[in-house]
Amino acid sequence: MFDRKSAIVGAMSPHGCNGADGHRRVRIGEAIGWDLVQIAAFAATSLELESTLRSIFRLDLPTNTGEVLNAGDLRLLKTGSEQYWIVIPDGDDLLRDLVVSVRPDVGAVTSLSHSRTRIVVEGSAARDLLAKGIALDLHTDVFVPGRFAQTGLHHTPVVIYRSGPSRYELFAMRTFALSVWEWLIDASLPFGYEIVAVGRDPLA
Amino acid sequence: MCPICGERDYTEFRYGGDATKPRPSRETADPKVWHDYVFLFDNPKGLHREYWQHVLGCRQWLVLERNTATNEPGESRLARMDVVTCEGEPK
Repeated sequence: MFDRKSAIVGAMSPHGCNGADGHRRVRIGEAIGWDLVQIAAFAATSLELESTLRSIFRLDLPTNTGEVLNAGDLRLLKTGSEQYWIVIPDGDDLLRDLVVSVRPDVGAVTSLSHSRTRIVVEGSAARDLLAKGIALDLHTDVFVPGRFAQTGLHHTPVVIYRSGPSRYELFAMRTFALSVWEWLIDASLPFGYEIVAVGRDPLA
Repeated sequence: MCPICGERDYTEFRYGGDATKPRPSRETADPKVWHDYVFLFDNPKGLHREYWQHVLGCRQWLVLERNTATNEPGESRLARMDVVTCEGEPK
């Protein structure tokens, strides 16, 4: 197994900058220590895939795109009609179990761990910061905590998961992650920002 | 409106062409047929069906009804449910 190397490691030195009011109202960090698995069925086999996944997780699956199932360390996102993302701690055996359980004629199991960078943004100005570049209504009544959306930021696709009222996780494409990171830092300047160290839960 | 993701900003989509033109049969070797398919387009005024991709969202291809005179969007469906297939071929 190849070691994963952060796409934004060169920009991650902990530092910060005060905003116009002298405060630092956004904290930004990179989350590591996770794996990402995509499972996609064919249109004709979506029910069979759902049945297989239910037998593995023994839980009801999300029914609508944008909904998330949280179960312990596992997070399952419904990303399409017949498609799911699963975020798990790195080294988890789930990927191997899924490859065995999901027959190739039912669906495809693909590891996306190396293809995304997970950036965590938190703070009283996090929503205002992201609203500068994401064309979604981020009001808590509309984009409620616990939901996610596939959208765009700085001309690239991102998945944004709202893990709390003032906390967001961005899954940016690895090759654009530094570009997204630099956009976030630039857009944070008026609010003031603090870059925190890389970690499994960097803002904990 | 994306049938998967719901209402989204137009900047998340990209235009993908006329959804009313049947693609010539794959066996067609006449260059004029392919020329006309690739390069010649009507310029309809009013309701029109177009391919769009939700490229910054779920990446699905859609067929969107749009009024070319007012830019008013209408119903959208997944393209795989509404695709215009090659001439002479079943859906």
